[in-house]
Amino acid sequence: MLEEYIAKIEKLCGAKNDYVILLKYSSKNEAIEKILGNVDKIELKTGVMKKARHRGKEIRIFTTGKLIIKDAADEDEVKSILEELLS
Amino acid sequence: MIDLERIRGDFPILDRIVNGHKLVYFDNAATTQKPIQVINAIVDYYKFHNSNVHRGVHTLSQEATELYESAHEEAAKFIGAEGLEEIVFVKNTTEAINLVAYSLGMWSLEPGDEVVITAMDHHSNIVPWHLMSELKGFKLRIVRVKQDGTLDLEDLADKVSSKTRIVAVPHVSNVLGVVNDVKSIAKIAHEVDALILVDGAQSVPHMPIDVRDLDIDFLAFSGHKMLGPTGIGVLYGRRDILGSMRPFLGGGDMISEVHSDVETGKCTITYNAPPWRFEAGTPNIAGAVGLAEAIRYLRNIGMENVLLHERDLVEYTLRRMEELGKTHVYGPRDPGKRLGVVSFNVEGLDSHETAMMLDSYGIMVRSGLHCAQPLHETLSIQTTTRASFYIYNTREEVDRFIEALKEIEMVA
Ligand SMILES: Cc1ncc(COP(=O)(O)O)c(C=O)c1O
Repeated sequence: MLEEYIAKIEKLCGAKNDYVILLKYSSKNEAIEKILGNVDKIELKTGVMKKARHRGKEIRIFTTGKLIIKDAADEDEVKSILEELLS
Repeated sequence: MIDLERIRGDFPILDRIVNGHKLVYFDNAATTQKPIQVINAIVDYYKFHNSNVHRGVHTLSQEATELYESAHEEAAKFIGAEGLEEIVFVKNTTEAINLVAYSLGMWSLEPGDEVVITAMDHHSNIVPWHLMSELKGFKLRIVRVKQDGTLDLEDLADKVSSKTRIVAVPHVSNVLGVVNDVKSIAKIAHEVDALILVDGAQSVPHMPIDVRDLDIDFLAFSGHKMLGPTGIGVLYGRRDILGSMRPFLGGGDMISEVHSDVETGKCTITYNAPPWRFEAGTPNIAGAVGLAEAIRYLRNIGMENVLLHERDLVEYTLRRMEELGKTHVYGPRDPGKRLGVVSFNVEGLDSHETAMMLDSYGIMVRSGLHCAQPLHETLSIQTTTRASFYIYNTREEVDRFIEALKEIEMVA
């Protein structure tokens, strides 16, 4: 399922355990809708960015189709969070 | 004065709409956009002249050779070098520095010698020297950066000694835009008979450079940061020094004769003269053609004008950033001490979040460490967001950037 929505997962430069996720352009709106519906808590909504929390992790959701997941143990944890959010 | 409207008309990419907004490209320290003249020169080369260079007797090979060699001449004129013998084409600044580090490091540096670099350096002027010091056992000395982001010249003078063989410094910081006084540093290096290498990645594209006047021995820079294509860069080396150096890479074109003895397994090789001694294998000919066109484009504008335009933009940006309540700008406030780079952080956001939000407004900036982790550590900053300007940027774009930051501050 990740292949359907995710184009790339990368560690952010200079940040120890933060990851950026690039959503596939063609399905980004659908993906963002699913994510917003599945996160534990939405903390802030603005035109360009939403702040959310899931499994205790801070998540940033950008309308351009990018996400940041902060302080994840590793890429596997990022993937498992994404599996949940995109289901 | 530069004719901004005419210049902007030469850059097709500037018409793009990104994320619903007209593109503002403020990531020029990473790479610059390309004018149509450069794009056309590359296309033209492949359409009409493509061939391999040197030792070809047919017409196309002669044309390609002529274009390739005259690109060396253009680069030489641009930085005040004596001629093509002093201009080695490489991939980029990184390869230029590696060339010097490996060639001199392998053959001339020994335990007991010292190489002086700085805490302001891009990783490309740290890692090659570190690798070579591990291999050859010489010592690295690292010059301090002061809290205002300027280089500590007293510390440099202390660290340069009779043991110093090479002083390798950045001309302009890619994080803070600070301009270092390389002429004075060259004097300090030469007093102890050390060589000086200047990383010109962020200076050559933005200001007039005269290697004779600066009295430097090596200068490294990248074509892609000065309107040229990726994959082509320049190492300037003083004629007599290049002439005494061993090659970095071996292969075709960098030799004048190769004899091998099948009985003994011995090869007898005579190296070519510089610059070809340092250009092994088929070079990036189309890249060189593109770089030459980029240089002509910049020369037509005039590097003094490029510098004045960027100073104006930085001064304007720094002034307008004072309107922001939660944004911290790093480096000297005096626009006279810096070129077109402004690094900052918005309170409550990390540098990547800020960059991604600016992206939503169609404004492209870079975030992270900018390959300069020691400088961030010196200034006790985790990462920064960086806006960097070039000849096609305008005050109106700075206004959009400031307005976007005002909205972003409200979210932070
Ligand atoms: C100061 C400085 N030195 C070296 C480099 C490396 O340039 P390149 O990646 O073109 O080799 C850069 C690139 O950002 C730079 O800013």
